[in-house]
Amino acid sequence: MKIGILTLTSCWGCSFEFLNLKGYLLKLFKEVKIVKFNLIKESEDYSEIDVLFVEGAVSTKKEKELLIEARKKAKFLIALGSCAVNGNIIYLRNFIDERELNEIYKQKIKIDESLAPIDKIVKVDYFLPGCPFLKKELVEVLREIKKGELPREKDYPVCIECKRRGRNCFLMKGVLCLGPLIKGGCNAICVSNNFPCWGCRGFHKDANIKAFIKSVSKRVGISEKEIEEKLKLYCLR
Amino acid sequence: MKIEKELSKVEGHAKLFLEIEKNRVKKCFLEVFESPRYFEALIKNRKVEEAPYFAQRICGVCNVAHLFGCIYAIEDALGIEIGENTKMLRELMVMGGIIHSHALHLYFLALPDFLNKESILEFDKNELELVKKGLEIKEVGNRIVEVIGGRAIHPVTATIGKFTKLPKNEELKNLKNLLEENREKVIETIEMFSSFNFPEAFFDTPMVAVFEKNCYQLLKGDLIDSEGKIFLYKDYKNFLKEKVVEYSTSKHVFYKGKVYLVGPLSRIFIKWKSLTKEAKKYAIRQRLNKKPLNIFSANVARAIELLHFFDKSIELIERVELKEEKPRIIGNQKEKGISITEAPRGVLIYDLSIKNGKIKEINIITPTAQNVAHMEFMIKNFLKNISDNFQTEVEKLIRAYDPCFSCSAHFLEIEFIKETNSSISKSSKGISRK
Repeated sequence: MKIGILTLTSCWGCSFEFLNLKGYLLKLFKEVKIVKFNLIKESEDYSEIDVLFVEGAVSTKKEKELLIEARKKAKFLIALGSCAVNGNIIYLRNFIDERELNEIYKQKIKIDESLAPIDKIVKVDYFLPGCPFLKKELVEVLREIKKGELPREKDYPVCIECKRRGRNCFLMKGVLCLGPLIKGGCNAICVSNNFPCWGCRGFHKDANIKAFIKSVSKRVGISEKEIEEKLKLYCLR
Repeated sequence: MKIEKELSKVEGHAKLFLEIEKNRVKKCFLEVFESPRYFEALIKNRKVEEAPYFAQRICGVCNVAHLFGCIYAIEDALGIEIGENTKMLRELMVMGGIIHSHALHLYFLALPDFLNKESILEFDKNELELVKKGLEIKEVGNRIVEVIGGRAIHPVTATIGKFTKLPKNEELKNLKNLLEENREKVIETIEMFSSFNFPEAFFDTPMVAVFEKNCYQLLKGDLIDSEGKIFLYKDYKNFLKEKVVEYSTSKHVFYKGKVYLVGPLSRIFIKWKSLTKEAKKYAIRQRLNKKPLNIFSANVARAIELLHFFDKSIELIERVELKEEKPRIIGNQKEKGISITEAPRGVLIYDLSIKNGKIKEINIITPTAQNVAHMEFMIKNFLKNISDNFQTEVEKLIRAYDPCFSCSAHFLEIEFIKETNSSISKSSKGISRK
């Protein structure tokens, strides 16, 4: 099996997280052929690839072309990390106009392409959200692909995992936490560390956004505007 | 002959262009084509509490450095001082981040060069044992960040004034064991990298590092140069200036008008006396405290820093007390805040202003942005002494800086022969964009 990572506009954190796979990484080195991974090997052209992970969002015309080319060669194309899945916080660049950029950087900035998650450009076979992605979800997807399948998408909110870890609810204490709207699978890592959920994994499929905004603003006392601002980081697109 | 090559085994997207004529390099430039994400614009107008969360996402490997660079600049503006134990936990996290970064660079990015292999993917069974060792050292760094910060990459518990959650004593005890169990591997790393034959790339430029009295300071300090001169952090603009260079269309950062180096080699040269005992012995043995220095020795410097950070981490784990600590307000709230900290690759400067609880303006000077002028300077001189394999040798030289191009989307151009009508029309003025 041939695999690889294509990195577009990103912090490369998912490439680094890939190298955090520990023992599994060495196993991978022996069992699969990595044909693309700029961080650790020369950039070579490859004609076909079984599993291509794409890290980063598309923000230039060149990246758009690269991604389209990659889709043609890949059997499975998987969005790796929140930049690729939902655009991440860098998506907010789309709301800054060029004049402001010119003023901040004291030079003429020209944006040739608005920043987009990769599924706006190509068909994506599976999504591994998270900033960074969850290692166990990547291991799971590779395991299933070997059987010719893809894992079922997680369809429950972060709250399930948070409660399972015995946390007290942030919302009950008047602190904005997006948990009820966000796709679980991260094992509530941030909330278990006393940091409220900012939604890096995006909405789960049954997320009732309107109801959340209304009831949280009414009962918790956080303004609708503030909730929407938070949702704009990873979710509202 | 024209060569265009995308760099590999560096963090970020960059391309090397070489024009060779009659066995001499006529033109050489490095184009960083990493798409800028415009973090200075993204962070502007965000609430103060959100700024560190954004800042750390500038970089997937030096996120801990950016996190604390931002936090300290905010605390500087708001007059906040953290407790002693909070300080120690932060220092542990920063060291964990550097251990991760250095181990990764040494074993995954640099080692193939010295074993004459294209990448670790081409290593034979014995060489893969080395990668396993590197992974184990790297994992120690990751564990430190994970235990204290909640997650290895883009940690969550470190915030302005405090930690959202403290680690448990048991977890710190396990960290200490992990450090002790893997210490020998770090020694082997030093010995291995000290044994390699490096190409000659000597330099005698100024070097700059972060300064705090009597310690190998990483977090928040003033600046010190290789002559021992000290500058207050808030005056950094008097000494570190951006300038348009006549032979290059990009702005570079200069120290008192000269090209300068930041990073592990600079740190050890300037602060070797503050290294832990055994690390100091290695620094002296490898002559990293004496000029002339070879830029390739930066890898030996990284390995020695690994030992220092391992020993310092063990020391801090023994000293730290895990208890709730409230930050104190000392001094007045100012509009501006500045912090100077050491990232894995060198001096990192955060300069921001706050108004009505939001970030009004922010400027970030990363170590790689500062080293770019030095890189250009060294490539020029280095290429005079080599007669073939230019491409590979220049790449190795660039790699010796362990550049992080995500942190420094920037353009760099070098011309060896002056051309009356410049055919290089790429315009790349302005400050470094991320």
